[in-house]
Amino acid sequence: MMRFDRPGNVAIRTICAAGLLFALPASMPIAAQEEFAVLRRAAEQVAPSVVQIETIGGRERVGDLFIAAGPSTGVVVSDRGLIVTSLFSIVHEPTSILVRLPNGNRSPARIVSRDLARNLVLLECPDAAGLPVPIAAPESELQVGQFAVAVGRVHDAERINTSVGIVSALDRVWGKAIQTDAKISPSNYGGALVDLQGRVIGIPVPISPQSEEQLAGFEWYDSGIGFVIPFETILGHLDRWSVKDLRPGKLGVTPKASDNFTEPLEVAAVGRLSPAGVVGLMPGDRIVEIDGRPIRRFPDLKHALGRRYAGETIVGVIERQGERMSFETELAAEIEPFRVAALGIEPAAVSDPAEAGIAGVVVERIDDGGPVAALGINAGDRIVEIAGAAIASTDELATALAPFAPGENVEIGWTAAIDGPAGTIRRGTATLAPLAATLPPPPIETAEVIDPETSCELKELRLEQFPETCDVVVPNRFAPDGSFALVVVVGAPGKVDAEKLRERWGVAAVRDGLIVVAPHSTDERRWQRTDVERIATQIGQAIIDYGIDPRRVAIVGEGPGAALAALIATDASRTVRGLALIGSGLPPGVSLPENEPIRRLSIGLWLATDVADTDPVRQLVKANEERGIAIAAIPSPKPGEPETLREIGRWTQSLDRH
Amino acid sequence: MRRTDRPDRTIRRLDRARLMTFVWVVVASAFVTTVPNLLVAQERPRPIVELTASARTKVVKLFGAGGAKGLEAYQTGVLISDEGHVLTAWSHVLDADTVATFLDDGQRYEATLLGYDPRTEIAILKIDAQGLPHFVLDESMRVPEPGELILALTNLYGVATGNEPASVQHGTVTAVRSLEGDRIGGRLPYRGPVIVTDAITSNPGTPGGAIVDASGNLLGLVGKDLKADDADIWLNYALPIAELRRSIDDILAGKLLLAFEEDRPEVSEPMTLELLGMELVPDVVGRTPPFVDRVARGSAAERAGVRPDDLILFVDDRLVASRSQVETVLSRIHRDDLLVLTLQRGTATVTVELEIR
Repeated sequence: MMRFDRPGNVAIRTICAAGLLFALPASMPIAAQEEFAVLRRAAEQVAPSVVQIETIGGRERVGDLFIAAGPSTGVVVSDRGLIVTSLFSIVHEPTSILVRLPNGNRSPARIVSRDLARNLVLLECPDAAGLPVPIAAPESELQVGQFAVAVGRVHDAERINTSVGIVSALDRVWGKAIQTDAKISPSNYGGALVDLQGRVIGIPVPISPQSEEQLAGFEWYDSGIGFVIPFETILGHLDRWSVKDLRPGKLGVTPKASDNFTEPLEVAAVGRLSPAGVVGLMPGDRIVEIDGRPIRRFPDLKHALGRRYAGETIVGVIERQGERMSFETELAAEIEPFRVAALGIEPAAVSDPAEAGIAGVVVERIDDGGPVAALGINAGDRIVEIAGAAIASTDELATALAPFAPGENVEIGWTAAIDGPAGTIRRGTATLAPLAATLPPPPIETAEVIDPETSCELKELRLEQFPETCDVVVPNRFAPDGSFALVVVVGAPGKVDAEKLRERWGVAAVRDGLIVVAPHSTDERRWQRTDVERIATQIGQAIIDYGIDPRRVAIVGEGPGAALAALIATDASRTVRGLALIGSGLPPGVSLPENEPIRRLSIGLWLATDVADTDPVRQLVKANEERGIAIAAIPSPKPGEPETLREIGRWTQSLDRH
Repeated sequence: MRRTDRPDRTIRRLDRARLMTFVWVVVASAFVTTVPNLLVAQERPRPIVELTASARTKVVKLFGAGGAKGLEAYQTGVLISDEGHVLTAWSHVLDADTVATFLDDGQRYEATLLGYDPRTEIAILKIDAQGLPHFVLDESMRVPEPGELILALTNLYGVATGNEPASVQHGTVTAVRSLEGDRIGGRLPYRGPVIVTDAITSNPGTPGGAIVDASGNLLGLVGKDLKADDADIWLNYALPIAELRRSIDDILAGKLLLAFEEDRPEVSEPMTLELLGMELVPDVVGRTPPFVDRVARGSAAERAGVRPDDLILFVDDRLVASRSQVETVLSRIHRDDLLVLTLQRGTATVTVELEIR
C-alpha cells in the first residue's frame, strides 16, 4: 500500500469508496437503483482492460511526500501490450515494473515514453499483448452531470475497486482534463473513469491548473475533486507517443499581466529564439486569437495552448498598433531562459508605483562600475526613458529592458535631481550587464545599540479563513511608506517562539527596514503541502497590511523549513521574489520557475564558508545562472547568526534591482 | 445519460413547480411529521445532466478582495433575480469596491454589494444585467429531507479558470439539524437548521454555492467553512434558503443597508465600548462578528441588560457586522446621547437602550 504523510488516510479512503456504493439507494426511486446496477455493470465491462501494476525499488520520498511503492492501476491501450498509467505510478523511479496479468502471472514492463503535459506514462508489457483495448467515450458526447465510475485495481489484484461520481466539468486544467466528483486518489490513478456504457471517459491522474509539478493536484484526493485525461485524446496521440515523450507546447511570450483578469492580453517579453520570437512577435503586441479561439485574457491563451504539444503548429492573430497580423509557428518544448539585462541600479522604494503620481524611476543606489555609473547618473536622479520610450514605474522599466540581452547597448534618458523637477532630460548610452546576485554593500551606520525588545513590537497576522496565525515583528519606526521589505521566516514546524523571533530578527528589522513574518504550521510535527497556499495568502495579506513594495518580498528557509520555503517560493512566485536558504542548498525535487522579466525569483544560499566553496555548490549556481536565474552562494562564517540575518535583510531590500 | 431536446422546458418546469407547491401545501398541512420522503421522490426525477445544464447557468464565480494582488480570494454566488441579484455568503472575499463576477459562459461583470445580514452572514450583490437565468426563490421554500439527492454547484478550489463554469458535485442530504450547542457551530450567528450533505462541499471557494434538489430548485446556500478544531473535521453544510428568506427579503428591501460611517463626522467626545462597559470578542481579522465577551459590573451595558454572547446587529439604526464597525459607529455618536442596541440573543432579537450617567 501507499503510505502518506497524513496517517489514517488509506483507511478513510477505503471506507469512503466502499461506503459510496451503499449510501445512495435507500431513499431513491427504483429507477435509480437500476441505474446503480448499470454502473456496476459498466465498471465490470472495462475490468479485463484494467491491470494492476507493481513496482520494485525506487525512492521512498518524492519532494515532501513519502511514497512506499504500492500497487497502482493501468489501462490497456493497444493489442501490442501497451498500457497507459499515471506518472504517479512511477514517480518514485522504480527499478522494475511488473504487470499482473489476468491469469495471475506477473510480467515485466518497461517505460516506453512519458506525456509530461498530461502526467501520463506509456508502458510496454509484451505478455499483455492481446488484452482488450476498451472503447473510448467520444468527448463530444460527454455531458456535465452524467454518471461515471472510477475504476482501479489496487486493493485486490483479482477485483476492481470502484467509486461512483458524476462528471463535474469538462475542459478543465487548460483543456487537458475532465473533472469528476468520483473519489480520485492513488486507489485509481492510472485506472479508468467509465460511463454508463462501460466506455472509458479518461485516465485518472493527479494534475492541477495551478502548477506543472508532477504531483500537483495530489493534495485534492478525497476532496470532492478529481481529474481524468480524456481517453479519446490518448488513443489519438498514441502513434506519436509510442515513439517519443510528449511535452507541453510552449510559445515563448510573457504577458504583461499574468493575473486572470487583465484585458487585453499584451505581450511584455518575447524569447528571441522561441516560437514567438522566430516569427517576429514583439513586446507590446496584443494576442487576440489562437487557432480560431478569441483571446482576451491570459487564461484564454493558456486554454488555447493547453491541449497542444511541442512540435505542433498553431496559427494566431495579433494586433500591433491597431493593425491585425496573423502568424503561424511550431510550439517548442523548451524556451531559452530569459536573461535579465540590468542597468546596475536599485530603485527607491515606492509602495504602489502606479499611485506615486510621478513618472520615472528614482534611483536609490548605483552599482560601482555598473552600466550606468559612467553616465554620471547619481542617487536621487530619475530614469524616465528607455530606448526612446517613456517609463512610469519600476515594472515598466523591467518591461522596457526585457527585449535586450546583457552586453547590448540601450539609450537611457534621465532627469538629474540637481536640475530640479522641471530639469531637461539627459541622455546617454549604457551597455547592459547580467543581473548581479551579489549583496549590496553594507550601509554606514551609527553605533547606537538596538534592543529588539524595546524597538520592535510583536503582532499577530490572522485571516479569518485560517485557524493558523503568523507572528509578526514590526519595528517601532515602521511607517507604511513602502520603504519596508517583507521577510517571511519558515523554520521548524510547531509553535513559533515570538519573543525569540524578535530577539533574533529585531536588529535587522530596525536597521534594514523589515517586517518579519513567521507563519505557524497546521501540524505541529511537520510542514505539509497544504501550508503552501495558506502561507502564500498570508504573505499577500501582509503585503497589503504593511504597504510593502511587492518586489521586496523574500521567504527565508531554515533547517526543516527549507523545503517548504522553496515550495512556497516556486509555487507562489507571484507573491515571493526572493528565496533565502540558511545553511542548505536547494532541496531535492524543487524545480525553479522559469524566469520572467517582471516576476523573477532571486535565490540566495547562505552557506558555511567551507560548504559554499565546493564543487557541488558551484555547479548548482552555474546551472541556474545558465537558466538566467539570479542565484548566489554567500559564504558566512556562522550561517544563522545576526550577520547573516542583516545580509538577508539588505538582500531583500535590493530584490528589485535592475 | 440520454439528452432529450425539449423546447417547452420552461413551461414544463413552471407546471412542475406549481405541482410541487401544491404537493407541499398538502403535505405540510396534513402529514407534517409522518409523510415519508418517498412521496417527493416518486415524481420522476429529471436526469442529472438536464438539472445540471439548467442550474449551471444560475451560478456565478466571484473573485474579490486581493484577487488582483495575488491573494486567492474567490467564492461562489447564485443568481436570484433576472435583474442581476447575486446571493452569496458574507466573507472577506467581498471586502472590495467591486467583486469580479463571472457567469457560466465566461461573461464578466463587476458586482457591487447591496447589503448583508450579520444574523445569517449572507450578502447580496448586484450586477448590471437584465434577463439572466436565475433561481426562483418561491420554489425554494422547503427544507430538504435526509436521503434526498442533491447537487452542489460551486467554484471549488478555483479550478474553474478563465471562462470555465462552476463545478458540479452530487450527493445526498445526510441530515438536517441545528448546530446550536454544537462546538462546530459556536461561531455561527445563524441558529436555524442546516443541511448536512455527503457531497464534499467544505473547500476553498465553495461558500455561496448552490445546493439544488432533484427538481432543479435551489434549496441551500453553502455556508462559510466550519471546522471542529479538536477533531480536525470540516462540516459539509448549507443554509436552507427557506430559512434565509427573511434575510434575503430584508436586504432586497433595503432594510440592511451598509453603514458608510466614513461620510459622517467624528464627534469630539465620542462613545466608546469602555464607557458603555462592554468588551467584545477580540477583533483580530477585521470581521470578527461583534459578539459581547464581557459586561462590566455597574456599567451602562449591565443596567440595560446586555449579556455575554449577545451579538450586536444594529447600533442605533446602523447595521454592524464586526467589532471594528461597532467602534467606528460609536466614534460618530456623542457620549451623552441615548444609544439603542439591537442584539441577537440565541434565536431572539432584543432591543436595549443604554445611557451613561
